[in-house]
Amino acid sequence: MIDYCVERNTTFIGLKNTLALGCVASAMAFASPEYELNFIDKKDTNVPLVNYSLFSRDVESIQSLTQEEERVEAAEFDHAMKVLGSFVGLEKGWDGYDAEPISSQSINLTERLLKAIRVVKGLILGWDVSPTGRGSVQIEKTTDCGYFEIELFEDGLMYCFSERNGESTCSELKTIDDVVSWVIDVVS
Amino acid sequence: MSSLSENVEDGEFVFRGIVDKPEGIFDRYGKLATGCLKQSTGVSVDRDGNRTDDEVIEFMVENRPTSNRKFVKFLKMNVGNIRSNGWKVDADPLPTNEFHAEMDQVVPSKHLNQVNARAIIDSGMIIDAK
Repeated sequence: MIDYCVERNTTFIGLKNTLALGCVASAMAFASPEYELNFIDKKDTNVPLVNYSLFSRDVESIQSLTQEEERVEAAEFDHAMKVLGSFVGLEKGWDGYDAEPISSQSINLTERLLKAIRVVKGLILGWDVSPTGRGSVQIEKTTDCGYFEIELFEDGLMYCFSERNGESTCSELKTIDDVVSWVIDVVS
Repeated sequence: MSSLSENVEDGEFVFRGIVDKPEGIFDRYGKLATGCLKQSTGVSVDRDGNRTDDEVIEFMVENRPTSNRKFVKFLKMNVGNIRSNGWKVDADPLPTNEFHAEMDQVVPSKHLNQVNARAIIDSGMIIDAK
């Protein structure tokens, strides 16, 4: 069993087995001056912090990536962040109709989620980031198994939708930890 | 005087204009993201009104609601199919656009209207602007 890793710039720290060590690492990561968020307004108290130490499942961390896997995952992550960044400053009516500007809270939340998802090997692959006309952000993924969608709202709610073999499921989740768990359980 | 019926019939088609920016409106496979059907209020569409696709698109390009964004593609959807997926389509003629209609979930819910949006889009047709 591997506890999730935490991110400090592009260096990933893998800690195994102990929840206590995971907590320490998580605290260190957020205290570190090297840990920078691209879009997140640190004064935004509505955006929940990620407690990576809560994730403790039988999954492989990004620590175990080969060089090629690391390059592919980094490219996917960078592209997702670039697309997300293009939503900043969109004006009302950006869709040619009366779409709302994308809220900074939704963008911040999405950034945190992408960073959390990236911590698990292979989990960041295949997600496309998309704006919605009601000011939220969604990430979606189509695989051989089905279609998966997570919409992130400015009030901090994250709505997870999956459709597999004609059956759909919906979950309204409130923490990034829960969403990452949903991704691991339902999508991967 | 308009020749359009007050009720939008199941056999009609409605069109939704799609802009090219920002990135992310289409996914990596070129599939339209469901975000285009997520609005704070209903989703504005244009009825076909017994016009050809080219005529509808030409009208929408010239009469788009806001002038600073250009529609580059159009999503053409069958009304009966929209309704079979749990959405409604109602005529909503405007002074400048008698073809205007609105589609929305029968029971609108901020967090729940993802359901069937994917199916509606996937069963529609994407048409490029000329």
